[in-house]
Amino acid sequence: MNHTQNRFELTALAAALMTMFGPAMAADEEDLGQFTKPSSSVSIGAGHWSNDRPQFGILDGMRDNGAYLLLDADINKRDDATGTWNTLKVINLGLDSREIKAEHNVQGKWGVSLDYNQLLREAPYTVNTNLIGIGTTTQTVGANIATGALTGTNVQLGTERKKFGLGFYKNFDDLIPGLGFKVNYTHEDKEGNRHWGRGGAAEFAAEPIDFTTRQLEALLNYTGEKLQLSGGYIGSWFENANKLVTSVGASTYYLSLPLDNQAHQAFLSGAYRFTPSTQGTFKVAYTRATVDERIPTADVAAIPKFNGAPSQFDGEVNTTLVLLGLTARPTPKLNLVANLRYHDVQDDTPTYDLVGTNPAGPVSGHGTPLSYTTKSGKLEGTYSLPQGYSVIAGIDYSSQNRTVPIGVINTVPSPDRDTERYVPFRAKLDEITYRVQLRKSLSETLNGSIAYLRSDRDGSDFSLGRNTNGNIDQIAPLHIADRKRDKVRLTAEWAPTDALGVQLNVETAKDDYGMSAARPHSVHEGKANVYSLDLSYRLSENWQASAWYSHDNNDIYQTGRGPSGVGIKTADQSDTGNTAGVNLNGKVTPKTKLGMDLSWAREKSSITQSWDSGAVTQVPDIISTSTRIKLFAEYALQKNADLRIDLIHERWKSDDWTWRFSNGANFQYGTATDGTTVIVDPKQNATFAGIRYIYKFQ
Amino acid sequence: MRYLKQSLALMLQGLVMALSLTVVSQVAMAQDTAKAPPKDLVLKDDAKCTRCHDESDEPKLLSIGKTKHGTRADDRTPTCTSCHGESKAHLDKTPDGKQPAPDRVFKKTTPAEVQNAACTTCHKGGNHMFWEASVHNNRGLACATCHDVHNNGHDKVRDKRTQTEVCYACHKEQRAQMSRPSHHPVPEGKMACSDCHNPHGSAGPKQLKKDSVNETCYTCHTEKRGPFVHNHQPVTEDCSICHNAHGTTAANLLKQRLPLLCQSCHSSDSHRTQLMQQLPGRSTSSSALGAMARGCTNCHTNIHGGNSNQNDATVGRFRR
Repeated sequence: MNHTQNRFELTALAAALMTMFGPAMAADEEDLGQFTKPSSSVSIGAGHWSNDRPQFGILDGMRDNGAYLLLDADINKRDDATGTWNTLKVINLGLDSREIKAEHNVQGKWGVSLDYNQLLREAPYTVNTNLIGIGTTTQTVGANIATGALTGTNVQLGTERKKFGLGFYKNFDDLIPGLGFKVNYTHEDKEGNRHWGRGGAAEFAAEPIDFTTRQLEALLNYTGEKLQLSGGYIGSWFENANKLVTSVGASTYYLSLPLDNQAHQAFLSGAYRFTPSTQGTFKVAYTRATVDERIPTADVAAIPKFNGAPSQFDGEVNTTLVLLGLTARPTPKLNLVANLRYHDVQDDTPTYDLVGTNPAGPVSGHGTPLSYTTKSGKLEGTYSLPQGYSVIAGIDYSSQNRTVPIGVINTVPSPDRDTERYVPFRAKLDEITYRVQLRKSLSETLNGSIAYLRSDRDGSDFSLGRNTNGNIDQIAPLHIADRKRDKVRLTAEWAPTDALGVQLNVETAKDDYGMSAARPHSVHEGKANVYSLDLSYRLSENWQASAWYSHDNNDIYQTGRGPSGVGIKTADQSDTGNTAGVNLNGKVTPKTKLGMDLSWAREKSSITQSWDSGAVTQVPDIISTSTRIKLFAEYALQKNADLRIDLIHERWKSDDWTWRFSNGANFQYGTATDGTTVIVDPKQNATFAGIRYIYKFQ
Repeated sequence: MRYLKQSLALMLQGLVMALSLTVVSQVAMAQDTAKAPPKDLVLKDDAKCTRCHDESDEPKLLSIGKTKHGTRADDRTPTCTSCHGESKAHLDKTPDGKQPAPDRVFKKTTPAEVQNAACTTCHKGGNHMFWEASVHNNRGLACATCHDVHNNGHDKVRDKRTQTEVCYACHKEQRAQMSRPSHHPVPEGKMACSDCHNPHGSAGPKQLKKDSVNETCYTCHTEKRGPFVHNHQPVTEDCSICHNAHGTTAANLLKQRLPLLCQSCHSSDSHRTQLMQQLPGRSTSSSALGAMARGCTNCHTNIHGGNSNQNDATVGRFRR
């Protein structure tokens, strides 16, 4: 809007009115403050879920039906004279997944923050078991539960993270302009139980989780006109209160757990502007990650030891990163980006002789340190064409040297085989990618791009692994197989009017894996497509609507040796997803806002198998559907207080048979086990109603 | 009664006249007052802008005052013209009475590099060190594509509960994946895209905050870092060989259902070659359970690495 023409008169009148109605104008200044001063709010209320929500409630802290306290706060206070901020953010204080963060800072000078995060993750099923000692390091298989009986104890598996954080920053502009120091420290405890196995046959166990992770990050930043530097130290310490679980059953097993580890990184990154249109960047980093622990099974008398086996584990992985980059605009229409990267992950752990065919040897199993050295580079150019068009072309190259684990070299049937490795492996892997894109931008109505990408991966000859019957050689593992990838990406944004926006996205990709006569198995082909349509429409000054729909599918064709190594089997896998959302919100009166948000997703997984040497029973498709509709109404009780009502209804339906037998019964571990059952609710509906009072202030 | 009415009418007239005189005199005085420079409302030296763009024009513009940019005590904070340019033509109007736009407006018709120059004058180094070489910069994204500077104190992209509304504007595949049954707590608002990615560019792949995929994952999944006494090769190389961090239909963010995922490396003989099957009832057969319950990890439970030296069948095969 333009009020310039009335400026003089209005200002004069305003000044007159100010003289007459001074106090009223003071109130107006207060009114102005509502637009210009930091605002705060506190919201308190209660809500109720009508049913348990095992699927939707995995991560949001509201798995069980019942009432929940809804308490949030967003308090932002600023002393304008000094630029001092005091803020407090409280999110979901009444739930088990909650966050609190408090900050005090003098903007641009120094600041301190304190935060607490709690996150609950609960398994979307219930376990009915007689296992004794869940949560401890001695777990005893209980009495056998009869088929179909649920006579054990219902157990809810899950983990809870509680993280405290402390941050501090100080700028030293008085000392050196642009110099600042920042430090962050976090301490996280993660506790709970995770679905596990006994490590023999398929039997239920629960991994006791009692982790502590501490992380420290200390950075010194310098920001100058041409030169910017950031360097510092990042330390990370992981501690596991448990190192070994003794699982007592028909046989007693000893299950190892992750050992304490730590990593220390020192790094320096920077950017330097050589000319207004040319900038160089770099990063160098060195990380040392170690484990210095006693091997937990070393002290178990029941485990026969190989004579040469160590009892202490000294793991060490040293990682070096060097990155050099250059961006330049040699002509006004051409922009170039180039970089070279060296990333070396060197596992310097000694290759221990761990186990033997008997305590006296010979050795039959080693530790497996694995190292990767990757050199990569990128060159990309963007050339501007008339009418907002531009062309981007680029090439990426990567060359990786990889350790081929060698344990014991078999001399029969050939001398180049490793008896410990179960898959063929490659010492070198190279990949080159070519990209080209045409873009249209800078238009009020129609913008978009179309891109094509082609990448080609290959590598050195395969080193062969353990060979009992020749079949192991026949695999070309997915992540190191030759691969040709083609990808096309189209985006279009159309805004025919100020009110209407339309967005279309199409992505299609195809992977062809290079199978050879020597290695004909693993994934042969992969396809992925995504189609999305988004609409947004401003119905009026007070009402907006948006809607979107996406369809995607991922197909994989895979082969392998048939059951017991006989013949060849194939598997055609197809995952199809359809997702949609509708959003509508607006004001029905100056005091009343209404909103609706609908989200819907349907995923279908199909697998079609074949075997050239026997009959195949196909597995059922898996279809999962989730629907959630949220409604809200917000009414302004007064200028600084709102009343909000939320209604949510959600439905989950899945015929996922991962935990369900073909007769429809819950999955129960084998007859030779304790008969633990996993109970999944395939249909879940729940409704939430919540009301909250929101108080706003400054 | 009639006299009373006349008296009241006279008094009223007198009051109106007195009031009118006062107003007239105050307006006359105010003509002088109006000649004084207008007062800044929010930012330093903003009076020349806010004399028009005041709360009755577009209150949202003033809401920059609620943000860090509006903290005038911090002498690094901008004026209107630091970002929008001196905009002399906009202030003066053309002879035909038209008013051109300010020198720099943050709309899609303005080239991104022109828009971004306003921001990168100050926002360089630190988390923005690799901005110029970043994919977002080189695909023509402006800072204002994602950030709302006049934001009423709430920039959607800086709040993890609303950040995805911004990211999904382009990243449709990730939006679909996040609605899968297995996902990180992003839809729940407990985690943001920017917990793993630095949208301003980084030294890592895919604009990851850390230098590799695994380093990024170890930030929260530190127990997987190892090294282990016995390592599972793909685990040490790249978590994304088996997992899709954005969401999957298979449990635990696995890219394929078991045993097919495992069989892309292991399908030679014995139970490794089994077909997928939904069992009719209870079984402990390792040749039959690959697709049910936890699949291969029913037995190979320490698939991320083991720290046992029991014997090669359990150490090398990640069972204990």
